[in-house]
Amino acid sequence: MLKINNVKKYFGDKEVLKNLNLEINEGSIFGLVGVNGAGKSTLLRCIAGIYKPEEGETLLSGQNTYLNEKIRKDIFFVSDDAYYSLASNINNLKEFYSSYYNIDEEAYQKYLKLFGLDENKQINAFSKGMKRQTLLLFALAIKPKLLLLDEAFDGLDPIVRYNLKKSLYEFIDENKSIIIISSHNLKELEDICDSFGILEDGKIETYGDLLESKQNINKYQVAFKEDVDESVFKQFELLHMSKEGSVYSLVIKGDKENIINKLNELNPLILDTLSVNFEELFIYEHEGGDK
Amino acid sequence: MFSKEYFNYLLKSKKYLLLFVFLLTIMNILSNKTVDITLGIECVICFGLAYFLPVYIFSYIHNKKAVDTFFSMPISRKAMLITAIIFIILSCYIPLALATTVFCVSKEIGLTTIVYLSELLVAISAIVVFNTAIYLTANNVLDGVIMICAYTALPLAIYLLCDSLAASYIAGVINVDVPFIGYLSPIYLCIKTVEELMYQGTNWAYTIGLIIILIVFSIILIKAYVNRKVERADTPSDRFFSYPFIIYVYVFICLIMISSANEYNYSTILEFLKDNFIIYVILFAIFIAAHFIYKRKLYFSYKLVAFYVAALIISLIFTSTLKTSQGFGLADRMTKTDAFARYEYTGYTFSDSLVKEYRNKINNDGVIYYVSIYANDYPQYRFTNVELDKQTYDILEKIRLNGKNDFYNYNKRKSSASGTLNVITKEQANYSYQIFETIDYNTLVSLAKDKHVIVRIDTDSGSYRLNANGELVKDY
Repeated sequence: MLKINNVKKYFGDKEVLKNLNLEINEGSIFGLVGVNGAGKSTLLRCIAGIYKPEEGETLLSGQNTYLNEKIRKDIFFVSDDAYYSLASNINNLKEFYSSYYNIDEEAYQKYLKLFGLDENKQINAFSKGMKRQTLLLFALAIKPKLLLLDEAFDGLDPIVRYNLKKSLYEFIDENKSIIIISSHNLKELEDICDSFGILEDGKIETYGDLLESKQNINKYQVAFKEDVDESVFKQFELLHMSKEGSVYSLVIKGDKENIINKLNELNPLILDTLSVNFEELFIYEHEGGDK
Repeated sequence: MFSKEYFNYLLKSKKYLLLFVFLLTIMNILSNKTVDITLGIECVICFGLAYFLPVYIFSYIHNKKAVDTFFSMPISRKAMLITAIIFIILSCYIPLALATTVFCVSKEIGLTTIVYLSELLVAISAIVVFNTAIYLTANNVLDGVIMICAYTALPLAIYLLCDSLAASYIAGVINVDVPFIGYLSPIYLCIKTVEELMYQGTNWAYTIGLIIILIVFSIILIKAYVNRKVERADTPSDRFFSYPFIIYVYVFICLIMISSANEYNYSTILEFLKDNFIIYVILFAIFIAAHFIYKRKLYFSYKLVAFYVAALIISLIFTSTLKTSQGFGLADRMTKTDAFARYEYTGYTFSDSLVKEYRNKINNDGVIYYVSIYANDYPQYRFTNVELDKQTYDILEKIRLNGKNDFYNYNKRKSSASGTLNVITKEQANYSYQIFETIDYNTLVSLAKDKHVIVRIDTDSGSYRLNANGELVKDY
C-alpha cells in the first residue's frame, strides 16, 4: 500500500502541496488529474523520493520513500521529460539501470520488440514518443511495486498508446503493483484507471473509485411548465447548472434515485438523466471546487 | 557509504576519458624530458582534472531532467556523493602517483616517497572536495564554473588587497607578508606541496592546511548534498555563498582598492570622489552587469544602489582610518627594533654644498650626483656582527623617520623623492622608504667617518668613495 501522510511541499514561499493525504492499494491504476501547476509532478517526485517534503511522509509498504533508499528499488519514476546523457543508447541505459535494479531479461526483450526500439541507436536521435517508450521499456522490465508515470500518454501515437495501455494491464495483472499516472488526457485515463484523485489547490479534493464516482455524479435535464425559482435546486449538491430555453441542465452529486425522486416532486415536464465521462467529472468537480 | 554499483557505472561510463588521461600520463613519462618537467606536466594534467571532473561528474545536479533520474535511484545521497568523490580523487591521483613514483625512483628518494605520495593524496582530495563544494553552491553549470573560478581567485584578490593597503598605508612596507591567505587557497597549498616534493623538503604546515580544508569542506559538502533541494536545479544561483556573497565581496575589495590606490593623494574626500567619479560609475556598471549574470535578467533596485553607496562610504572610512592611524599603527609596530642591521641609501642629490665642494676636484660640470650609502652593507662584502656608531645610527634613523613622516604627509612634501632608503632588520625583514630630503655634504662626511659605512658618489666622470676626512677617492 502507498500511504501519503500530511505531505507539505514548498517552492520558495509558495506552498505547492498542502497537508496532502492519500492511500492507494496494490493492484490499482490511479489516475492523478489536476489543472496545470496543480502540483501533480511535484507529488510524484515526492513519492519517488526525489523531493523532500517539508512536512509529512510518503510510505510504500510502511517504508519512507525519501529516507529509505532500499524501498526505492521497488519504485520507478518515468518523468514527463526524461534525461539521457549525450551519445547514450538503450544498451548504455540498460547498463545504468541494471546497476541498481533487477531487469527481467524476458520482459525487456518482449517490450523492446513491442515498442520497436533499436538498442544501439543514440537515444538523442529518437523522437519524443520513442524516448518516452525507452523509459517505459525499463519501467516494465524492472517490474517495480510502484510505477509512477508523469504525463504518460503525451507525445505517443495511437498505436503506441494502445500498446502501452495493453502492457500496463498485463503488468498490473502479473505483479499486483500500484501504477500512478498523471495526465491531461482524461479519455486515456478513463480507459485504464480504476481509481482517481483530483489535485486542486495542493490537496487531493476528490478521490476514489472511478466507476463509483462517475455513478455518483449525473447530468439531469429538466424542463418546467412555468419558470421556477432557481433556489429550489439549492437542496442538491449542485456542481453545474445551465439553462437553454426552458430546459435546465443540472450536474448533481449524490444518489441518483434519491435525486430523481426529489426532482419529480417539482413536477417537471421533462426529466432525463445522462451519465458523465471522466473529463466532465473532472471539469464539474473543478467548477464545484471553485464555487 | 560507498556504492560499488555506482562506482562500476562511473568506471564504465567514463572509460574513454580515463583511458585518455592514462595514455597522456604514459606518453608524458616515456617522453625524453627530465623527471622534473615530467612531474610538472603531470601536476598540470591532474590539477586540471581536479577542476574539470567535479563539474563534469556532478553536472546532473544542475539539470532538471537529470535529477529525476539520479535522485530516484535506489542509492542514498551520501553514498552517491562519496562514491563520486572517491572516483574523481582516484582518477586525478593515480596518474599523478605514477609520475611521482617515477620521479622518486630516478632521484633515489627512498621511503620518503610514501610520505610524498600521501601528501599528494591529501592535496588532490582537498582540491576535489573544495571544488565540488563550491560547484554545488550554484544552481546551474555556468554559475558553478563561475563560482569555482571566483572562489579560486578570491585568496589572490585578498592578497592583492592586503598588498595594496600595505604599500599605501604602512610606511616602509614593500610587500606584505600574510601567510594565512595562502592557507585559504587549496591550489596554492597543492602547488607548495609539489614544490616540496621537487626540492625534497617537507613543510607539514601545508599538509596540515590541506587536511583542515579537506575535513571542513567534506563536512560542508556532505551536508549540502544530502539536504540539497533538487527542485532548484537550473534556476538562478541565489544561495548566500553563491552570487550574493561573491558579487558583494569582490565589489567591496575593488572599492577599497580604488580608495587605497588614490585616496592618499588628496587632501579632501570630496576632491578625491570628484576625480574618481568615472571609476566609481564604471564599477557600479560592472556591479549591475554581475547581477544580470546572476539573475539572467536586467535587475535594478534601490537596494543595489544603497549597498553600493554604503560600501563606498565604508571603504572610504576604512582607508581614511588606515591613513590617520598610520596603517593601524603597523608602520611603527612592524619596524620596532633595537637597531637595524643594515642600511642602504641610493639616490640623486641636488645638494648645493656637495656640488660646491667637489665640482673642481672631479673636474665635472654635472650638478647631479648619484649617492650611495652602505651602512653595514656593500655589494662586495657584508659586515657581520658589528654595531654602527651611535652617531651613524642616529643620522640614518633620522633620515628614515623623515621618510616615514613624509609618507603620511603627502601634501606637505616639498619635492619629489630623491632617493630610497632600504633597511634590513637582524631577522632579514626588509623595509623601504622614499626619501624626499637632500643629504648634504656634512652629513655624508659624518657618515663616512664610521668604518662600517661606505659612501659612494657616482658622476658622469666616474665613481668615487668618500673617506673619513671628507676626501674623494677614485673607486674602481
